[in-house]
Amino acid sequence: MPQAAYILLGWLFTVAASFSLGRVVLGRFNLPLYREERWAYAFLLGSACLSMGVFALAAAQLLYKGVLLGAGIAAIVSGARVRSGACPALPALEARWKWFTALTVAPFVLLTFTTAMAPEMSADGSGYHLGLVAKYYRERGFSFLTTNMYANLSQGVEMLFLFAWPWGKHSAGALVHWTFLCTLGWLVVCHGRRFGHPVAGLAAGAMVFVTPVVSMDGSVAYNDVAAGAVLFGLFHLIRVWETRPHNRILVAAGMLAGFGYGIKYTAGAGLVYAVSMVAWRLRAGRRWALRGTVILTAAAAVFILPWMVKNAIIVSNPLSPFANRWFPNEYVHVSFEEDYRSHMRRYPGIESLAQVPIEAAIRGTKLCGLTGPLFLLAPLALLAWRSRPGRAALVAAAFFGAAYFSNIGTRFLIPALPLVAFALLLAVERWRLVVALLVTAHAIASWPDVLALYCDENAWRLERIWWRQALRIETEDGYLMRRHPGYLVARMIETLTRPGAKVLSWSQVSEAYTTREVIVAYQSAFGETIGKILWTPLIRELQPVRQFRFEIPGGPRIRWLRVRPGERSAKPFEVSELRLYRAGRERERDASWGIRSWPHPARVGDAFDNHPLTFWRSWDGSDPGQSIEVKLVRAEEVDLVGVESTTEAPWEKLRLEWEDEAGRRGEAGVAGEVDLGHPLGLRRAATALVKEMGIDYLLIDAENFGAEDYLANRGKWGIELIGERNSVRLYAIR
Amino acid sequence: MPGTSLSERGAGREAGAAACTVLVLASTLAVSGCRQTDYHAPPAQRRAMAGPDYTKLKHFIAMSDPLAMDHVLGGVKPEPQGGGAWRWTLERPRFKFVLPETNGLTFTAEFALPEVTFKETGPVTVTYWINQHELDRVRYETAGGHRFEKAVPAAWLRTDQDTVVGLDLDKVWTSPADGERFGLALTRLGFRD
Repeated sequence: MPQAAYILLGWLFTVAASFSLGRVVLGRFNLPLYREERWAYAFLLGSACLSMGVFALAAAQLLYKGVLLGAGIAAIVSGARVRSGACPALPALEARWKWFTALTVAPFVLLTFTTAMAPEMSADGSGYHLGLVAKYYRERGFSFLTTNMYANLSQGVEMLFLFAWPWGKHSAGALVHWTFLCTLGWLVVCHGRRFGHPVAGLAAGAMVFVTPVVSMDGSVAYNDVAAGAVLFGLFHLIRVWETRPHNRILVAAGMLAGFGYGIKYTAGAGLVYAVSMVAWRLRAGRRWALRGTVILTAAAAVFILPWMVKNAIIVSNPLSPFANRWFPNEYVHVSFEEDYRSHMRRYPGIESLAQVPIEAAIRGTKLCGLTGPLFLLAPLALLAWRSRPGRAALVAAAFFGAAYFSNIGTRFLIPALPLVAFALLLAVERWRLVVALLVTAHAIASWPDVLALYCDENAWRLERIWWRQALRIETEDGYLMRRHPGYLVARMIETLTRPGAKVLSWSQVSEAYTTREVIVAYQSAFGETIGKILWTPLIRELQPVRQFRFEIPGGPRIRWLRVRPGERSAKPFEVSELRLYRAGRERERDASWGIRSWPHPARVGDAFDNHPLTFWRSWDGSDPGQSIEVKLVRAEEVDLVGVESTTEAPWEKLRLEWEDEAGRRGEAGVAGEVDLGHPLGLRRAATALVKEMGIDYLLIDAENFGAEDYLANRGKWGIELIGERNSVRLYAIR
Repeated sequence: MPGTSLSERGAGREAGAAACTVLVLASTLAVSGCRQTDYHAPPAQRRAMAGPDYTKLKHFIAMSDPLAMDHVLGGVKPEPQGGGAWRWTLERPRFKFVLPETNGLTFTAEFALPEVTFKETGPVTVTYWINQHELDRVRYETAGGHRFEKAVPAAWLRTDQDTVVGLDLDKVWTSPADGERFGLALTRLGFRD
């Protein structure tokens, strides 16, 4: 069977299984929905269930083609057996508006569908969304993956990609996401029709579908549009509940709120919104309000808790990669989390939030995507506050958009965009010509050839209809070789490294196209540690070239001592080696010593192993609560304690505390320092250490720090250049 | 309108589900937040390929190092100055180093010509010697801190015996009070890669 047929099979099988499970759920809950709404909710609620089902199979290590096939067939059969009673349709639309919308949207349907079906080449899609999916399928389920923080994010949509993977691989996943794009547009239309504003709904649905960032995101294996569709579905369901307050609607709303979190942490705003709305509507009866929110939360928890429990088991932090101060762990550093949050709040090139409207609406490079200039009219949506549907949409937009400030990428506006579009068109709905002009103008401005006239050259956007590529008339390999530099690198890794090898990279790799394990330096504590080891030979400030000395008067027999920061500092507390001396001779470390540290207790040995490149580090600002301790079961005479560290360490604020065998305690600050000079052979020592930690290859882009040093000093590093694609070099560690 | 005859049964089950949810969540959070405080034994002691080694001479020495004088063959005053950061040399200081490798090394020295001596001596020429090979000859025409760096041919170096480094100064300052001589204020010197 041709590859295109397999892609369609994987996609349709997944959508059919989702839709069928949704029918089962709808059949059980008998929600007060119209026929058109049921189509959308069957898909959304069924997707939530299928996603959790795949999660369970992954947790049970049962990801086999046969198991997935059986589960899908069972779901489809169950759905087919559900008797759907007579179900009324929504009020009819005016034919001219139907035709207007269909003609406006049809070219974009072709554009987005062929892009989704063409070989996947999105950065995050081919990087980690599908990279992790491929890994889970290879390994038959979740593994104790602690070296990729993206694996700690909730992956509700990726579970659906995983269901489609055995048949359709990458493009089937993108098509599943495209289905959410269609569902989102459809739901917006349904919302307008149900609440008496069919033209505003129809126009807003079309406007959302063609919006550049929405159509682009929804055509690749991302998850933002899925989150947007689920949140809009939640909003609509809450609005239905407001008119018909049945608890079963709250159960379904809770499922969607939980699934939203399961798709993307930022979509957890949906649960906050839903609970707030229910509590507000039922505020007159406190008991009913409590009951309503409990039902909602309990249903949501079924879809949230599995992700938290998975994280708690694998990376000791249910909210990983965030909240690492609350849940100290060895897998994601606090310093990384803070840098990451800061980076997400302030993208490179964005100095002020005042730049956001133009960047997000027109330019599209710095914030990775654009909405189109018509969304600069978004403030006019506030005029819709006068009507109840307008107020409801604006309140929901405020809830869903609040998370935007934690990540100002344009695609993080997607959950709020449909609501803003609906409110905007509601505000001008009485002037039908204006509505038609707005939608037409937005569609024209969103078409790739027109977009290219005003957005940045490198803006993230759809480019053209890829029908030859979608149908694989041009081969996947040929297309990706031609268009996707990341594919070349991934294939270089695949062909030039041995199976089972681990490759360290400083940048994201298209992991979906290689079976090798790629450790990206910034994606985990392990990767950061390796990265620092490899940077140390190149950066003097990272080398442990200072020994800070603490004197213990009289050299008493010590049984316990502790080094800690005396006060808070933004600089991390770092110790390469901690040594004890008596009369100028170092006390030999032996197994009777007890050592411990806080934080990172598992890494304390790195400060006592006599290797200049291993280190214990707080990976956070210094704090008096951090410490390294030594307990001497056999008290030893000590008159000097040496702490080897970098020149960057806040050594002047360090304190030494000790206790002698008579129980007398003492304390001292740094008495002096010794310059340890320039360690020789650090390059080779670094690669030898990294190899010992399991890394076999280094992938270095010409833009990476020190790239020329690796090339020029291959002998000193002990590495061999085995491949080069574009500006990316692959080295084997010898 | 469909769905108007919805049942309100199952409130007990919902409450039970909520209680379970809270229990699982609390357990998850509690277990995740546990602080581990056990003592460990130190790991096996390792030796990097060419890291600092306190059992023998080094390839680089700072005057603040307690072992600095072990590297001095002569021509350096033993008394540390400036809180231990530097030492005075005479006109022909000599040092010995141990090198773990010989390829791609650069000799480096950091020192100062203090204003107080420079105004008497004027410009000073320093000749650098590595195992009796003249590495360079540099004339320093200003007072203050200086840094010398130059790559050393591998053929001049050995790993199986000490490497002797010499600095020859064409002039030093002699104290008129007691006749004591003062050359460079030496901070650190040795080899790096």
